[in-house]
Amino acid sequence: MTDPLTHLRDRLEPPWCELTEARVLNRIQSELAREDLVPQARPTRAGRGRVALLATAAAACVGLYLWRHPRVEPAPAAAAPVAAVASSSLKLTDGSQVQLALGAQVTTVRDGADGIELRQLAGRVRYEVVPNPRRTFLVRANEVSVRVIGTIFVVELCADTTLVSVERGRVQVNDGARQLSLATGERLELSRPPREPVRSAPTPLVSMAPVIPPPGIDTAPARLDPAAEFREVDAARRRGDLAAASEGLRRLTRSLGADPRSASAWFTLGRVEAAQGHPAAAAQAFERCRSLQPAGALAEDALAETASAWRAAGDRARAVEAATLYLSSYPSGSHAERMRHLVGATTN
Amino acid sequence: MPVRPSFRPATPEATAPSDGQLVARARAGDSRAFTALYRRHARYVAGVTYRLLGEATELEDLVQETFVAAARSLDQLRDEESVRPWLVTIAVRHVHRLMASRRRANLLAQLMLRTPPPPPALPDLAEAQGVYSALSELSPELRIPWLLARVEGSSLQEISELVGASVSTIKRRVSRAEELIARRLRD
Repeated sequence: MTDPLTHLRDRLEPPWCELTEARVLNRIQSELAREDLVPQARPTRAGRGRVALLATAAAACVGLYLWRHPRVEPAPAAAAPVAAVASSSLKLTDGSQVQLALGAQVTTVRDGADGIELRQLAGRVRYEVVPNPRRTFLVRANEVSVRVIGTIFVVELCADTTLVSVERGRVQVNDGARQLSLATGERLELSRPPREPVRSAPTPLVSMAPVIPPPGIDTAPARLDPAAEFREVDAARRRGDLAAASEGLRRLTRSLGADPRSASAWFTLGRVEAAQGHPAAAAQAFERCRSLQPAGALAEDALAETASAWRAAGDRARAVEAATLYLSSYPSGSHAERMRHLVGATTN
Repeated sequence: MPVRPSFRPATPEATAPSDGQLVARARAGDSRAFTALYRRHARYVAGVTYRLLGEATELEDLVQETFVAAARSLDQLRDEESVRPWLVTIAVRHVHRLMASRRRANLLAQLMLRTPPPPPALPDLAEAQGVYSALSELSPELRIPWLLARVEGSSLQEISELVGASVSTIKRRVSRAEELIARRLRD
């Protein structure tokens, strides 16, 4: 065996995404706080933005990543971090433009000088990619991945199909089973494979906005290893099966109880519900996350997400209440400008 | 360690503090700095850990343990600009411990129940499945240096620093592992 197997390095990428990263960070903060290596942050009143405790720092960094990457131009008034509740555009660090149609959702997996990777969760998105052969530009949508160098193309996610059309240049489309090259003017429609059956689902899948049980009314703990369940949830999210992810997260929140990971599960559930177009359920999940760990690593982000989700749900009063609480607790927080904008836009 | 494409912080590179600056600030009690280090290196550490293990069952736990251990021993980092290899050293130590524990459990299970160890749970990569299946029979002392050399592309000198053994020992272990893997793949 003389040939090095370094190509395996690139093919064996870990199942690691921004939510995994945030979840593990939350666990690290909890463990360090338990050991008293790092004190837990406490939200403060206005003027106390000097807080430099680790938990707040974690939340700030989570926020910086989730909200500034990609940056939204112009400043998003009401959009969830990756969702377009109105048509909007994102500008990536290399100058590439991403135009989201109403209801479209995109999240950034990576945005660096050597590579950009986006995940399109819903809707129609037009990508105008600045030519640069030295970096990779990858868009994943359900099971389909689109790799480009410099081009303009559109990806549209429908119920059972993914549509890729090229306005200019050339892209490579991979659906997991085959790789095809599309040139200017060509379009490709790919059907999604049937979903894998949900393993021993104890309750039916939720297709409408689900009802989250209020605090203190948890049903009986289900079972299982939380780490394994988190992995299943991540896998479901990766394959675009948000209903299964939501179901798994709901089971997790029931079984975890007061475990520190419960806050992560609620936070992730909020993101999944938002991606499914259930902003009220998302807001409730973010509220629950924050109530479980008000000084935790995800608290600041959860509060900002709560405000955005209530606004998306049309509940102005709750949106303003959450945004105002955010501004008083984190006056120099990473979402402060957006929260000020939300309060201003909602009350004007 | 070879520099691989990795997660980059949101801050523009020109204004982003160096690892050394972040370490200095973290040591001085700036908790944001430690989080920034985590953000910068977690994905890379996760990648190396994942490929060393060949599966993801305990990936999150190991990344967590690595960074908690790093927070505990930040004062022991000698070269403040070498955070990434230092983190990988810690991760390798934890992976080694886990592999050794699993190997003992597998040997015991084989003795008691005469059942083979479970196959590695990898993505659908036939080539990797074969390699990791062969690797599962090796001790961590052989397996880890071989993976670092052949898959991660690290030099013998780098591996010797990562696992805390001499270059000649590493060279011998990689060679022995290669021999065993080749034999296993031929069978």
